[in-house]
Amino acid sequence: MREIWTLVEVSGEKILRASQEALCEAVRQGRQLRVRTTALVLGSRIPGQILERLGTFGPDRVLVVDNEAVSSFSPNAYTDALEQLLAAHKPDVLLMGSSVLSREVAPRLACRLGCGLVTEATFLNPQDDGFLVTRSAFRPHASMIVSFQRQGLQIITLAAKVMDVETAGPFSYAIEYVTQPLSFTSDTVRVEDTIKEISAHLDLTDAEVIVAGGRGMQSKDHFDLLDELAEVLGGAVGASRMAVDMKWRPKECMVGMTGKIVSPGLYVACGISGAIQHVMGMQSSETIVAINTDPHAPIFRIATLGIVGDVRDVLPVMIESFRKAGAEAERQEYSA
Amino acid sequence: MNETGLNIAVLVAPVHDCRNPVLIDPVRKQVDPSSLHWILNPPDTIALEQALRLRDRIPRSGVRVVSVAPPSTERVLRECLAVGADELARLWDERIEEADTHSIAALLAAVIRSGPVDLVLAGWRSADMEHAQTGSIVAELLGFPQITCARSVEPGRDPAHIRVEKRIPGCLLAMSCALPALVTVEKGPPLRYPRYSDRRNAWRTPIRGLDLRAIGLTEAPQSRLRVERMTPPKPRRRSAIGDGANMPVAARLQRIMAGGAQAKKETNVHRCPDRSSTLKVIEHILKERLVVLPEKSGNGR
Amino acid sequence: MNATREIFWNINGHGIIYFLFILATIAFGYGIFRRYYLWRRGRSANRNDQKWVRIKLAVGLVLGHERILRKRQEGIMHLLIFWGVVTLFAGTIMVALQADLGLKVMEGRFYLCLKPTLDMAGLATLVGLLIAISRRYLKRAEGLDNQSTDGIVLALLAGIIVSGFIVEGLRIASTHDQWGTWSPIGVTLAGALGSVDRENLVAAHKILWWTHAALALGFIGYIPHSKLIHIITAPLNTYFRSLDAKGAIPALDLEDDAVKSFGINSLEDFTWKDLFDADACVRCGRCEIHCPAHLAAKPLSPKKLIQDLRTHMADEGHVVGTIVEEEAVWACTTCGACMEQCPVLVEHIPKIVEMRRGQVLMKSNFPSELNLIFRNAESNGNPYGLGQAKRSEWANGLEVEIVSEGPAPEYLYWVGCAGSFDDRNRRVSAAMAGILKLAGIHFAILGNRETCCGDFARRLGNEYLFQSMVRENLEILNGYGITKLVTQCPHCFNTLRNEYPQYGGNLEVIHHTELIAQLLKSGNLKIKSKLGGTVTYQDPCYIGRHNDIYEAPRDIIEALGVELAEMRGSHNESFCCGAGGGRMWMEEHTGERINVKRTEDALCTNSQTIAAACPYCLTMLEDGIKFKDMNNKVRTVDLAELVIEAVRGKGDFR
Repeated sequence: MREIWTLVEVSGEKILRASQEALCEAVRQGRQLRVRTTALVLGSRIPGQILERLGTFGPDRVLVVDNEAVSSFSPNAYTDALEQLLAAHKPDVLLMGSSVLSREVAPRLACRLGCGLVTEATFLNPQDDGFLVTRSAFRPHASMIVSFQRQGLQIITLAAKVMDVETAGPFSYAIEYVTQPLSFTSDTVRVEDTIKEISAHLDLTDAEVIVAGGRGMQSKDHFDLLDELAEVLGGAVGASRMAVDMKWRPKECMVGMTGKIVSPGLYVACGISGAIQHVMGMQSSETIVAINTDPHAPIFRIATLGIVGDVRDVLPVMIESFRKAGAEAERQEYSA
Repeated sequence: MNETGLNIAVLVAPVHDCRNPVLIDPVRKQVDPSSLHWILNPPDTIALEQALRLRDRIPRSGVRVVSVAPPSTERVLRECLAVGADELARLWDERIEEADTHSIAALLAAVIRSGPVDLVLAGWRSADMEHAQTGSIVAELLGFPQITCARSVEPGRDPAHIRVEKRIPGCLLAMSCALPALVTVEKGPPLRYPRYSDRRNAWRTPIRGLDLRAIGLTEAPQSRLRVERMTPPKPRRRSAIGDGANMPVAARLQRIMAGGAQAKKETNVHRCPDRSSTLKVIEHILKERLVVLPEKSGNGR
Repeated sequence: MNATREIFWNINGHGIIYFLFILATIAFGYGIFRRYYLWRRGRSANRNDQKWVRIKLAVGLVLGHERILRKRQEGIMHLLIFWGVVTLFAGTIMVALQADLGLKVMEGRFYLCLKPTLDMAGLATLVGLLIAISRRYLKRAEGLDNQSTDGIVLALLAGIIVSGFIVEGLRIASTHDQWGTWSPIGVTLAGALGSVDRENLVAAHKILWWTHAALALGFIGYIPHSKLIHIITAPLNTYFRSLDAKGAIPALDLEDDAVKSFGINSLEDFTWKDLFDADACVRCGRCEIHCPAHLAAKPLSPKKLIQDLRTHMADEGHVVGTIVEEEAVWACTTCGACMEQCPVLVEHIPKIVEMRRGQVLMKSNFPSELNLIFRNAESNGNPYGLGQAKRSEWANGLEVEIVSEGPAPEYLYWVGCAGSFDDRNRRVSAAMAGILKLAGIHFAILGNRETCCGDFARRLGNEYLFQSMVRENLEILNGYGITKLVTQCPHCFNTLRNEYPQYGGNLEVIHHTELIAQLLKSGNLKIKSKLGGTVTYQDPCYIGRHNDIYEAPRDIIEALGVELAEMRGSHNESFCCGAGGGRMWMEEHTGERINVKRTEDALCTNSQTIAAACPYCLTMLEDGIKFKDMNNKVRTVDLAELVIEAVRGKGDFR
């Protein structure tokens, strides 16, 4: 193995979290294996501070494609550009973070380049000529270990929130602009309209984060706390049937067997005991944080993390801490 | 193509219902096939519903379900006919047992090519393996434009186009695409429930069983990946907090011995009677990134 | 001198009466034929087997008024009118026998006995009519809706009786009938008329005689054109009753290729008996005032359903959505209160289930939340959609034997979906397992091979799903040679016991309350410490009304040393928790919540504990208690949980 590439997605002045995770893993592996690591950025007029920030993650090189064609959401253009770059530079591995874009680009690229692709990897085990990849299968019942059958490029996308992000520095790195001329195939896929979403009006089934309240919220007024927490987490507010019966929330908010079936990344169950009718509506959530006064509440049986306490005490502390942490995270991004 | 309506092909895969565990053969390090509990891949059923709705709206359209699946799953696949698919083509051959996503996609593309097609719909990923590759590769192989993770598929401004809605974090995209095209579907209305009379007819409708020869191949497309082994799940590493703070060691041990998985779950439950203990748990939540705080203002995709 | 009277005294041209009689007969015959023609449009159904059983049962209900008398006041009302009119009718026949056939019936001692009897019958009818009028127009009793026809019927009857009395009085007064004193009312009236001169009396008699005759014949002609048709249809309806187990929904043959339409879609899909039912209904409203859906302001009234069917019996086309509101079809909890109350044995539930069958099997049209539930049950054998492999998780660490792992058990413990998957009800299962062990009963469970019994699927009209579950379960049960089952779920109990035989099941099923009561009685289960306190008990519909188990649970409560405070509406008048008939799996969008209404009844008893004997009741009442914010003061338990407390001697549960 000589070189590991990482595709880094940027938007405005931000770097996609998943890309950061992928880049950090690439750097960790690259150091251990003593191979060159490259962070590849595509876009048009990418701000200099982004490139510098990429440098602080520790790649040996930041490779930049500055082209109008890849300035907006266009999987086709990305695929074209990457196809030509990879064919020309022949790195051994291309890592990507899990994202809307990579989900489409990675398989198309693998198909065109005739190479293997493993998605949603959770662990990379280096071998002589690449990686042996661990990923989950039949979630949550098994893991599988996958090997590549062909020589040459390996494309791997990493599952979100698995790899750590470290931004220690300073490191020495080079910024290179791609001079190779790129050609783009025509595509009939057009974005005709973009409708901005407001998280507060988000349909529950679309929300990545749901903060839900039940009987244990004690009164309608305390749902303000949930609104606040949802705002901090960028999520939507749900309710158990009991809370809807109590007219604390409209019935559109009801999560459960006869209400909405949701599977967000994070579900915060506040004062919900976890009757089966409710659990049926949210059990496939990735992470479940439950707050309830009753330590025997069934919700704790499915919770990733349970807090035995009164929502009225816990929620304000939570909101305050998360808000502080959120603000800090943002400062870091700019100062780093 | 408009005079004959829309020829829709839907890629449907039987998958294991992950609400049930799988058994892993400790010697072969592979999944014991007898432990598999087959259902139709849920995202595929949503794609099928979209296809049926399109067919209902555009006269003279047809829905063909294409699947690469072993004969044992035919019972599950018949559901597609019961809900109203016009045809079901199932491809299987002993030689494709070890096929990876790429070779399955190649087989699917070959079956699709065997008939007229204007639109290919598929679920965005399989619920058991979660590769999320097949649809995109099929589109590449067919040379079709593609839109992934759609949430609605509707007739376009003219018969040669299709209108698709897709959500990316923070916004909803209204997209269009010329036909023929492939769209993978992420969300949408659930698959209709079949009438009993249709179900009864479906039992009698023959399923077109295909093998490699039927699609003009002599051997399976070469796999690019190989599953070395299956193992019990490797949980993501996660630290515990405030170990033993609320419970004597002996009691904790006893509980773990007694209750197995249940006790493990319970260790994730923390009593927070006051502010400092609450803060400790929240610190843990942040450290373990159970909560990912949103990046303010448009992080794009 | 022989006691008798001249039949047509003072009446000339009484031949006209025969003409009028023919007119009345034509009106009657035409009306009956028209309805008969409509009944015949229905599908066939065999309701004429076991004739003697049917007659015996019908006699008690018709002549003995067994059901009607359950409601004291209106029961007496109907009893008076019924026997009054029957007696008077018999009297009229006597008259006809003498007048037309020349039989000397109205003579001698018999005549003298007949006279006061008929007077008393008239009086009884009149009293009955007065009660009816006061109930209907003064008290405006619950369940009654007043239509003009009700007034007409009462007026007709009252007119006949009153005119009859006056005619008799006038005759006695004008003829100085020496036998007049044998008619106490007639002679009283004659006495009151004593001052009127004879000429006027005779003239008045003539007019009233004709009035009386016209009213009586009008009554006969009016019978098939009004609710009076029940005089004919109600007794027949009790004869044509279902002799199947009360809790069983009629089977449906899905295998028959010739059948193209399943369930009820159009009027012709009803059986003739279903249509006949509609003409037996008298709109008494007993069903309605006991219907939980109606009382919780849902758009279902069993009475309206039957009446709408009657009104539209001649129509063509769809039933659901036109004759019967779609929401009404899905609002029924199949609690059986309507059928339990109906004095003429109208069968509401089978009609509703048949309509649901039509909607599900033929139209795939049902409340959207059920799509998921049906598919869950199809893929994982339980409506919750939890992995089949989790079914026996509740028994972890309890050392419960799985039937496949040991010798044949005495009892198979059928846990049911709620007992297997629902956290709250898993505690009941654990208690049950404990009780069976302490009683030394050799039992086992099916473990992960148990599948939903299908109760909810059948009652939601998804007969296909139901039958596939039955097939699967019977195959497994027969495979292990199981014949005796015990279950804590009344729904499983009823389905396994009453409906599985339709598909070849031959199972002896016992509800846990019955078994526990037996064990306590026989001493195999000994109570260590009596519990004390008061408890109220919710009769589950499916062991109560549908299977007549009322005493076993109460025996248990007594044995526990607990005081039982009955709720308003207990035993066969128990009010459903709201979860039956598949309602457990649907949202309640309209009206009040049924479970909250029932919880209020329970709270009114001031008991510290609400005991249930059904997993649905337990869930619904516990929800109700939480809704009422009483969960810290009142607890809801299954009887099995109380028993295990008392048997283990964990002390006072209060």
